[in-house]
Amino acid sequence: MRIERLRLADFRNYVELDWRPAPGVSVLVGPNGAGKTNLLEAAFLALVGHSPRTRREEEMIRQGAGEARIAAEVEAGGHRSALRLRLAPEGKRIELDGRPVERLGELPFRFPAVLFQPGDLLLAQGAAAARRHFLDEVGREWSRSYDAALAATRKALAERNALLRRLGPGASPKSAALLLEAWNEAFATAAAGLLRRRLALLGGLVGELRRVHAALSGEEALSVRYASSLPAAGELLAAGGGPPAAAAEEAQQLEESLRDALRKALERVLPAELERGFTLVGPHRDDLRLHLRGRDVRVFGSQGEQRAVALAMRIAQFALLRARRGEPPLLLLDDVFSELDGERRERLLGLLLPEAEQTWITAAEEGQPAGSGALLAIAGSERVKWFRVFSGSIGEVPGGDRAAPSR
Amino acid sequence: MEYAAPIARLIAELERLPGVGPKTAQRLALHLLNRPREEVAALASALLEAKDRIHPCSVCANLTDTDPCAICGDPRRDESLLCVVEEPKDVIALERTHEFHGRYHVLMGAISPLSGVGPDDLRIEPLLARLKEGKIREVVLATDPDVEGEATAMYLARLLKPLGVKTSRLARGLPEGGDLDYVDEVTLARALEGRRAI
Repeated sequence: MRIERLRLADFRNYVELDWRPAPGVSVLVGPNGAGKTNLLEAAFLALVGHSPRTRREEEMIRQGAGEARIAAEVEAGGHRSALRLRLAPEGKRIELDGRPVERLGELPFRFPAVLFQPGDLLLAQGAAAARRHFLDEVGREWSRSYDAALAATRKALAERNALLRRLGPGASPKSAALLLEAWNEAFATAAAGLLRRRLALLGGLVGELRRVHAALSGEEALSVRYASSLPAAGELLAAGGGPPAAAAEEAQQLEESLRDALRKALERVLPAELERGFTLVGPHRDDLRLHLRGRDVRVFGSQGEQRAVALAMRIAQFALLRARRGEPPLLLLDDVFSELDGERRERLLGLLLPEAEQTWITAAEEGQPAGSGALLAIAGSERVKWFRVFSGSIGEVPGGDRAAPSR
Repeated sequence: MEYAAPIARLIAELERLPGVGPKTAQRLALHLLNRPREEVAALASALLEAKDRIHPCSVCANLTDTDPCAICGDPRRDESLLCVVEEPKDVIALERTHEFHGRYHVLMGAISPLSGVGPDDLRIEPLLARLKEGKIREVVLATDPDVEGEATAMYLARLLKPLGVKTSRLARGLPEGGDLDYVDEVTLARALEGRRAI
């Protein structure tokens, strides 16, 4: 996955930009607020369909401009494509080779990108939602049908929750029995499809995560468990259920048994659900539990341990997608070096760069950022290009010294 | 400067159409004004004629200019086979496959607690009345392959069970989350062939 040319108009602090990134590693240096992260955001937005930073999309339109535009010339899986995005206050529209993209959720599968950003610490530190979001992000890049399963589950969940609220705590489930059964069935069907895909994804991801974490931290103690509100799902995974290459028939059987388990669980918790007005079991209640030496990283991990786990999750995402897709995703590293010591930085680069193709790295410092030596040694100096970003413009820095940006 | 009142009114009326925003409404209005008078008159009379002559069939609720509609009134159709769909457009989609020779029943929607649509808001009572006549042996539940369509099919399957009619659902292979009338004919014909009992 590679972006050959990126053009921006009225995006964040860019009035206009026309940039050809290096085929290998592009290092973006410049002061804070220059627009380095905005470039990564623009690439991510055009490829994957949403901003990694904000849900309020209007804020990406440059102040005083009516709409923002991004055009990316992309090479993926041996095919060249042109992505065009228009972002206006009424909404956004993405075109792929001149045709509007109807389902944005399908973009990540076509144009996978892996972004490391400082906020990733939440993967280890934050609530379960952050880790579910991570699984779903990787899932969409990993399988074409993941997005449809996720969308159906969310829809069925919203409908079922609306029904529970409508019926309310006093409802006699008898009068609404048919309706509840119908929505239990619809939700269980959709959710079993999502759970089955999550388990298959985890079948590959957990191993990568443990391997990568060991290599990054020098420890081997990370244990990873899918903690499901549906106990059967956790057991199936522990028992080796949902291997990545499960035969279609096995997959179907697994999905059936998940659906049965969900059906039963939904019947069991119904009184509590009517009381509280939302669905209490399903993939929307699950978590990925991470333990080091038997202790929950989220609660007991040091800042350093949490950072290593979060980085390992991103590296595992990258490694899994690379193996599955046969080519590396676009790798975006936003300001990840400043918080790492020299040794960790070298390990991170050592795990990623030999496996990566196109990579964009931002570094806040002026001049040669920390870790440049390791970067050049690992990537090979001929694969690395240096760019200086300065208030919405970009210029290549020949040989990596501090030349003024061209405008 | 504002548009003259008649243009402004035309734009305002066009804007009320689904999927038409202010810009499109303006473009359509100016386009219409540039066309010959006969062409505009043909459009206006087509609108009125359709509105005056088309009504839902009293049996199946499909849109028709006769009553009963051409399908309900066709004696060559298999009256033991009934296909339940969400919208009149789904009848057209299924008819295009030339694979189905039974009759139809349009629900006029799908169950959606989120949008406040319950079973009582759909044409389920008339469906039960048709089944009570005793001629129908199989009901094909061809609601959309999205979650609301699935839930509606599940609901009907359970509701019809005590009546002893066979119920079946269109086979998978349909794209999830899609409208039935967007599915290409080949896929739809195949799904109809492989319908399963639920």
